[in-house]
Amino acid sequence: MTPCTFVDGASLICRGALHAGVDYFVGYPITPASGICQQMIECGVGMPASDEITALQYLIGASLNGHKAMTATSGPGFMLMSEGIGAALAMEVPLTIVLVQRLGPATGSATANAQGDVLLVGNIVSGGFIVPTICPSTLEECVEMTVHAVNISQLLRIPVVLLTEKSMVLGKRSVAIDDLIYPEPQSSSRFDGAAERFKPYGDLDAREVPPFQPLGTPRPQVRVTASTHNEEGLIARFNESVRLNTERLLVNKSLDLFPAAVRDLQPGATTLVISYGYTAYAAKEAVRNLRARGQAVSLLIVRTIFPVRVDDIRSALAGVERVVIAEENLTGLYRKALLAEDTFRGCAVDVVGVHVMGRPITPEEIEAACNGAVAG
Amino acid sequence: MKDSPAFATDAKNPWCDGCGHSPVTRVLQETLAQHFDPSNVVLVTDIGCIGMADSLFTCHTVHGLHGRAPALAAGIAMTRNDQSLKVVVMMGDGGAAIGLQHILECARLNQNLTLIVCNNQTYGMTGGQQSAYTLPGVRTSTSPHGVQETPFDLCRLLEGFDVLRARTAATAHELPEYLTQCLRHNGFSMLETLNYCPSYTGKFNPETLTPKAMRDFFAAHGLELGMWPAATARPSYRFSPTLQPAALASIIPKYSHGLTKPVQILLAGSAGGGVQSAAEIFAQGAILSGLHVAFRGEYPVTVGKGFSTAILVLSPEPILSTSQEHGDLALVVSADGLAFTRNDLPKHASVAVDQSLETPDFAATKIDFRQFGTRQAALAALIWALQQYHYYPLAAMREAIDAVRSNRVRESCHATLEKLGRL
Ligand SMILES: Cc1ncc(C[n+]2csc(CCOP(=O)(O)OP(=O)(O)O)c2C)c(N)n1
Ligand code: SF4
Repeated sequence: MTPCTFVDGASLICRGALHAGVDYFVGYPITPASGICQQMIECGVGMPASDEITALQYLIGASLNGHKAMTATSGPGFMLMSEGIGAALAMEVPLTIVLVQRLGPATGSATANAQGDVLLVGNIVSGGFIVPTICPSTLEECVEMTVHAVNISQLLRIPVVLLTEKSMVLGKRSVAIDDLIYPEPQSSSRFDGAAERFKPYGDLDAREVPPFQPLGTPRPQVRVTASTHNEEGLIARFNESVRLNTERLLVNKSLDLFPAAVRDLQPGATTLVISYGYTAYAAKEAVRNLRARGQAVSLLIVRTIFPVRVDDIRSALAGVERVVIAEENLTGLYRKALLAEDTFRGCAVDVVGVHVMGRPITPEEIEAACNGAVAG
Repeated sequence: MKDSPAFATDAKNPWCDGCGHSPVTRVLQETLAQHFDPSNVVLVTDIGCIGMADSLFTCHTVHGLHGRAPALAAGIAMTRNDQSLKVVVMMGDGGAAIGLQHILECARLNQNLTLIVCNNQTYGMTGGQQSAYTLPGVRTSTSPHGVQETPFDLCRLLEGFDVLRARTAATAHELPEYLTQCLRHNGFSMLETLNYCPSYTGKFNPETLTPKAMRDFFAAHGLELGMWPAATARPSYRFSPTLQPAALASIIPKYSHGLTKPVQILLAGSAGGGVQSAAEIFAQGAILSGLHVAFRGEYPVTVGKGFSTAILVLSPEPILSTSQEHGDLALVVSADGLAFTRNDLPKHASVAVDQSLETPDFAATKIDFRQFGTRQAALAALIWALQQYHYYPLAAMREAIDAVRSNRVRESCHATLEKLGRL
């Protein structure tokens, strides 16, 4: 028999983080994310901060020293971090933020599940810049997606959000230990040229990312700034070189790095169910039930929330007439994000949302939405 | 800035003529050059006119957000494992107001860095507004008739923290000496330099804020000048990771179960009544029997009072959704548990409650779960369920109890199992 373990998402996220090489974690208590911070402290790589604004600044400082830096929070704390996240993006400082969603608005209900922060994450940085957002849809994936999140932050020198929710992080399940996937850890590339040649924001690699240079001896001078800057890392007025230096922060060129959706497509299916995160469990069950009743249905579980992998979704639309998007929030936030990205442009599909607030979506609700399609 | 080449670039001074930021920068460059190599110094600048200092320095420079420079600098200082790097922060009085919490934290933790607060009595960059450090009487663009309130006194605020503090005028002859002491201090040091912004506060206050009059003006407001050393040499804060990863507890299934389809069980009791740990043991027993398990606990934020519930799904197949409203079995062992789950109980195929509980509105089996003690009633209910419904063998439950870490709890659990086995 295969060895199993009985575990929650918090423990698996910590495992993923440690495997990825996270060696600096700082957190401020907030349900349902506190357990991650406590475990990282127990594992010897974490410390508490006096608030979330401070936590984010500590992360930037540690990351500039070459540490792999991470924090975990929930909606209210994430909002306090927002200015710092924009700064980290502009400075090109890698760090990972685990955002465990709970019911909002505001303080909301600390122990209730929700997927209500999706658009908040999608728009947290001014100017349309994207904070890569990765989302585990099973407990097992908590390890793998955490490693991907840290790897992406390193390779693109950018803050990355691991978006998850209370039910995933605090709920426990039996998990086959062999089902846990540990991708190869990745680190930012280092500058290895002559010190006089070093430009903090120059010498871009194929992904248009400059090599990373930790602060300190005997390395060349490092200049980092969150204000618009030139290749030297000095504040500069907006001109052509500053524009290029800013525009390349839009990460949608490196799509190959971002986990693809899980595709479970059926020939002849006219309905496609799309879901993500904890709600994906209900979506899978709904699809299983429909198929058991002889209906052809396709399923797509999105694991990269942002940047939206439009091609990944469009390539699942052949023959599809109805798209059902299931998520646990009041107005169908990710559906709005997909529509805003013109994901379905030119496809003759009806896009239907299944969304509720304050309780889990049931498979039956998703089945009913799919059956609407069958009925025409 | 040409005479201190080690730290000075040949970039043009960005500030207005007569700006107090210039003399402080110049002295800082000279003092650093006497004691450090540029590759060993990180200058972290805050937002504001002061934040334009980066281009003047040959050392590493980091420029972030308004008020947050001390926290960012602390992140750098505490995560260095060598002591060679000197971290210096330059911020304005505006930054020192919005970021006061970070300054206090640096002092509390004794972060190894030097903070220079260039107090020019105003927000220079945004048009000469009042800051929380602007002295009474000073006219600014947001206090046209002069400030009324008592300002923060940073040296006083840091008094209780046993850190090095100093304050003097930006043009004072003791500035190099104070800076030297601060930069060589191991731990947190804070130097406040007093000056004014000629373009705003200078213009608004021509009688008091001039190169000649300002010293008397500051003295008249009781701002003490001087240096206050740390009384003890307490160690500065270090973050040193010592990785101790926890292994995943491995459970190898060896019993066989009696389930052909999933069952969902609701267990309800009181906080502190062992509901969560009983559910945990029960789940381990199920896994030992080759079942898949999903478990979610719910309890109030005040974990020691009120209800405590656990929803357990056991299944021969991998479990997907756990959002079924209609459970198979509900077990209720206390009045708190009954009150919290009352509306859900009729949605269960079977309900068993402790015999002390009244359920006039629906049918429930009454069992004396509480005879095993209030902290064992939850486990007793689950063992009873195993005896009734044979989800998996009692031997698996016994083995799960063996794994309980606390001797006392393990023994009580075994006692409950044996006693129920005999009934
Ligand atoms: C969060 C935030 N709020 C407001 C501002 C606008 N702002 C820029 S500089 C500044 C004040 C700077 O004053 P001070 O720190 O005293 O420095 P000085 O300009 O006098 O050197 C403010 C409020 C900002 N950049 N960020
Ligand atoms: S506005 Fe004031 S603080 Fe800013 S550079 Fe000019 S004199 Fe200095």
